[in-house]
Amino acid sequence: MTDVLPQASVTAETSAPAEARRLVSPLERLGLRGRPLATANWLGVAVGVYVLITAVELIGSGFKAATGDSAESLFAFASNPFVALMVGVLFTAAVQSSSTTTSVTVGLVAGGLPIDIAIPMLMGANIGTTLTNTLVSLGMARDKESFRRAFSAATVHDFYNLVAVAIFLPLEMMFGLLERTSSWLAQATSGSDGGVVATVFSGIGSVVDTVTEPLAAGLEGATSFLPDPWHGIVMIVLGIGLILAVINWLGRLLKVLLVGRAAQVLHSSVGRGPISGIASGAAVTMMVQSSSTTTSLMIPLAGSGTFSLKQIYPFTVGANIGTTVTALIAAFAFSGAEATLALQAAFVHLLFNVFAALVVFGLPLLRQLPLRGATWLGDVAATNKLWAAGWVLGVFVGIPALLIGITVLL
Amino acid sequence: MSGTEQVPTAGGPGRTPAERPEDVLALERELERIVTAAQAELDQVRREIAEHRRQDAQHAEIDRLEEHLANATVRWSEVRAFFEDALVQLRDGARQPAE
Repeated sequence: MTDVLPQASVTAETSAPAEARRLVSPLERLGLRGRPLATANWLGVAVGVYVLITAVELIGSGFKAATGDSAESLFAFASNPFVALMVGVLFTAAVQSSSTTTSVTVGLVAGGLPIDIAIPMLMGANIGTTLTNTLVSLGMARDKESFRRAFSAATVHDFYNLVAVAIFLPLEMMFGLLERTSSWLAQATSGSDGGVVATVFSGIGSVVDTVTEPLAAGLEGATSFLPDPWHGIVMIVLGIGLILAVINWLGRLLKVLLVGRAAQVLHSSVGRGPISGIASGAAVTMMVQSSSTTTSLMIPLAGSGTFSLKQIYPFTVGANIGTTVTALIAAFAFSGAEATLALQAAFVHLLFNVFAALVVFGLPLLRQLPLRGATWLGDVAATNKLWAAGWVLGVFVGIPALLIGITVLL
Repeated sequence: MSGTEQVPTAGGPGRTPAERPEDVLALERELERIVTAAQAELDQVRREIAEHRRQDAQHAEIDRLEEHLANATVRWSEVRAFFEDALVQLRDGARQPAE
């Protein structure tokens, strides 16, 4: 006999039954329904993108104002790539959004943060964002078998990102692989000698910059009564707060607007190979602008046994690629030389995830590592919850905090 | 075979070619091959049915995507309950060797 996977629905299988909730647009509170609501939602998305770009611009200006010409000295503690990596992990784990980390980093790079410090931070964002789906999987701990499958599905993303960083961080330190390729790509798409593509991108960048400038200047002016460096620091904090809020806002609206399209994408990928899984993961993540959301939504589906670990794995690889769009949008906050730097940071995130997919998922030997790691961890965690607790606290809090603490103290 | 035909029992002169032991063996082998092939085909059909069922279940879950997206958030009460359970497990583990 062949094995037949459990047919029970997710709600019946999971220990914490999912309530029959529906997605609600924040604009429904205005009493809108149907087409006017859809129109208002799309307008809300446009406003959200506008505020996102403005907030990134604010961070760039704030960082310049706060550091003057000494950006490197401010981030001297993160000049050790492992510490910069852990800063990325901790920050992303704290805000539970890699899009926030990458957008903030794009702004900081445009404001003068050296790219060699930003690259490990962007890699850390990949690791930090996996905390969300791991925490979601903990909610299924009451049923041993569901928890085993759910925790494996969550940690396959952790293992994949850890393997990717273990390969590409040393390569970066030795050869500057991402720094060189992203620099070339940024020059080609925004530099003065980049040809037609650069002209088009620069044109878009200039228009966006002009449109977002008034709000950014207004917010900058509103905080100008503060002395330096506090003026700059408040601008950075304000920018981060705005990015956090607006990414949440965009996610809520886009989920409502594109849930049907996302379902179509997922339906079309069922029964197909891993490439289709990667493509659907990337597409759905681009639609909802959050890899945490797409990877978290798969956890109960994996826990119930409806989707196997092998099917979840390529989906999470695609989610990593899809989430890089936010940083690319954020890069349009700048023009001129700043735009090239911002685009370079955004391309670092994109290239890292594309290279990781090609190498870690593309090579059969490496492809098996996250699967084996996640299967093993799921097995031991289902038997002894301390493994799961140790993994969450160690990978996302303990080790990053310890490394940063040691470096700062020494 | 019709009902009037004799069932081969042992080889010997005067018997039809089909009743010779080597032919019986060949017939058995042929039957075995047919049964094995039928079994493999049946397994294949079962696998395909299982795959169809699996895909139907997946499509059914995707049809509930809105609900799944709405639920794709961290429930802090569950996270807290998990860590409380883990703490209890840790305490129990520490107590057992002492006893």
